[in-house]
Amino acid sequence: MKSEQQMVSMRGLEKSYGGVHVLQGIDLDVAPGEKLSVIGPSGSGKSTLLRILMTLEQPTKGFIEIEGEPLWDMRLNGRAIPADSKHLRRMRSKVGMVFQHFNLFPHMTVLRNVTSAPIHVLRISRDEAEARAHELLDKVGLGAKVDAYPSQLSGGQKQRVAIARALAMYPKIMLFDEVTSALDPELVGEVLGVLRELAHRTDMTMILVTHEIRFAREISDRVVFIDHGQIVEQGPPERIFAEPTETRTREFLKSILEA
Amino acid sequence: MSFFALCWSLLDGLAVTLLLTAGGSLVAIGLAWIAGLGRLSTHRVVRATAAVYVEVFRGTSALVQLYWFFYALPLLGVHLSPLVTGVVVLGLNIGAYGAEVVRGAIVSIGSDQREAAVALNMTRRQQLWLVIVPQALLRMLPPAGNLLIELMKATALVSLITLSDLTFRGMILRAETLDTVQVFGLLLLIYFGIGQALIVGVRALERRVAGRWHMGRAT
Amino acid sequence: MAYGACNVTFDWSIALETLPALLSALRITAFATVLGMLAAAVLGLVWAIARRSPKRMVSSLAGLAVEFIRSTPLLIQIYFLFYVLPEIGIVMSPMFTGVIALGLHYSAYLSEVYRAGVEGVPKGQWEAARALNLGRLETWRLVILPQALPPVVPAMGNYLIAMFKDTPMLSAITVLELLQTAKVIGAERFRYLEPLTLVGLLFLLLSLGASLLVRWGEGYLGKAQAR
Repeated sequence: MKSEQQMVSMRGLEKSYGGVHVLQGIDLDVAPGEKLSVIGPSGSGKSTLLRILMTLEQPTKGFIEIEGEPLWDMRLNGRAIPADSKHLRRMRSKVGMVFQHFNLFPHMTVLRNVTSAPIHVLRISRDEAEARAHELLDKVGLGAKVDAYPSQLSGGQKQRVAIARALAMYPKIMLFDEVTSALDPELVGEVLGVLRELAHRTDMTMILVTHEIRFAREISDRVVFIDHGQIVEQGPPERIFAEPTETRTREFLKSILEA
Repeated sequence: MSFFALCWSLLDGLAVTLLLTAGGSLVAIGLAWIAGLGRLSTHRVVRATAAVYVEVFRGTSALVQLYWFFYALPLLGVHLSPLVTGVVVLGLNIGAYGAEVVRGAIVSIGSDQREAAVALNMTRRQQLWLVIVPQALLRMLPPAGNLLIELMKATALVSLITLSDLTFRGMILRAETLDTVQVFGLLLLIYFGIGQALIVGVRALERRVAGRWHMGRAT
Repeated sequence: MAYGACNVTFDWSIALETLPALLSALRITAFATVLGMLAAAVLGLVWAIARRSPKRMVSSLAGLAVEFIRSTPLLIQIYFLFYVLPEIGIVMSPMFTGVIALGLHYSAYLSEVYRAGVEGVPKGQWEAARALNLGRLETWRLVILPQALPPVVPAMGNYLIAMFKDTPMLSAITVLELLQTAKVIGAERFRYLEPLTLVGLLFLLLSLGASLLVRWGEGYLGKAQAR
């Protein structure tokens, strides 16, 4: 075993739907506490990468480990067999995800959205879950909205609730899937503000798929550019954004900055 | 015969009709949930059993089912009283339609909700009962209301297996008084009244559920 | 309840013997279904058009009638016509009385189907018809119905199947359709199990087959509209 354990490690990851190869052999390591931004054109496979990590989709080929443990397989008497639901649930407890379209539960208040999984999945007491939810909602600036229903919130508020909901499960890795893409431009700032806080104040591993280039530059330790299901280029944000070596990266950055 | 005397003599029948409607609905709701969820089960045998139940009871006629349970089942050694036969058959029949309502509403909840539940590490059971079912409930109510009306109407069929419900009493009364228009007119009005009351009840329930969850707008 | 303690078992030879009589009764059932559906289709259209009448009186009366017919038992409607029509001088066979009752009852459902179809026609079509100075009748006949009807054919198919399953109620007014025939056979031979089970199977087979046809029709229609 290496002295420094990777938080996430992928080797030869492939995913195809029908005949379409969305991911074509991804090798990627993410260190504990690292803030990683994944950029690339739409349809490049960035979101699929996150969805496989969250076990919402199964890879066609390849291997993923989280903290040195295989995600989609488990060992039985030394042999690797497909993961059962128990194994998947144990691995999922390390990962949280925030979605592009929030996916809040419309039939629950903000408070219940944040407490239901801690109560039923982590089995902590209602009082404790609520105390923690209040604390988290205060942090994302929604302490006054605990009794509101999602339909009564703006997009930016919904997304901040979704972040609090994911945080309430104490994940080691947080996945953010284009969390500002569905927001009106004037609401993007409040969500980025919360993410910035998280990035600076916590040692959580964060993987963000994003189109916010300036924001990615500001908070990331490393940027990965993906195109056509392959990693084209990666490195520290200063270098990727200032002097990309690959033509495709340059063209993508140019197209996005002109837009 | 005076109008009030007419009403009075139908009252006993009304009680039987209401009892059948209530009992039949309870059985139907239970079966609808069991079979509706059964059709979505991961177990092949459970899925197939639920599908066979639904297809058989939707594919045959309610009256044929009633006769079969009343005339044929005793020959197989199963003896049920007419009232129990009525409740069971109405429940089985409408429950099969209800199963499709339950299944349809559950399937109609978007995959984004299930994915959010997976991301929060919920078990399949928790995904279903904490996230999917509460939302599906609201979509089940309008079609369930229609089925309730169908069940209430179908209770009239039990008069053909000797149960003295509203229709049965009406038939006797007609034979006695020969006031066909009056008796059957009143009968129709009473059924219509029950139906309207049921509709009002279901609508109120819908409003309460929708109001409580503030689900007027999409999230 | 133990099924092991059967005092009777299903006798296939009896079932085979009763099958011809049941199959010929099936013709009556089919006849009633087809005629009833025709009546329902015509009367349902009348309701649907009446409900869109500009005269408030007409439209709300039609609405109430539809609601009333739909939420009261078909069996009583059958009895009502069976006993009342002769009293007002209209004498016809139980079979035709039954067909009229079926048609009346299902016209209420079909008017809803038509309504959905008519609501699916874009508003601009009504305006275009008015711009062309078409009369009310021409607007319906030339513009609205040709667009409103094809999409609702599968829904009508489903009601045809539902009506087929309701024909056994005609046995209550002595029509010798499938169920009544089975009952007669049962009373003659003291064997209800085989004829009633066969009737159930016949209904199951035919309505499942018809459902498949409707589903196929839906797919066909979906493709035709996509084109």
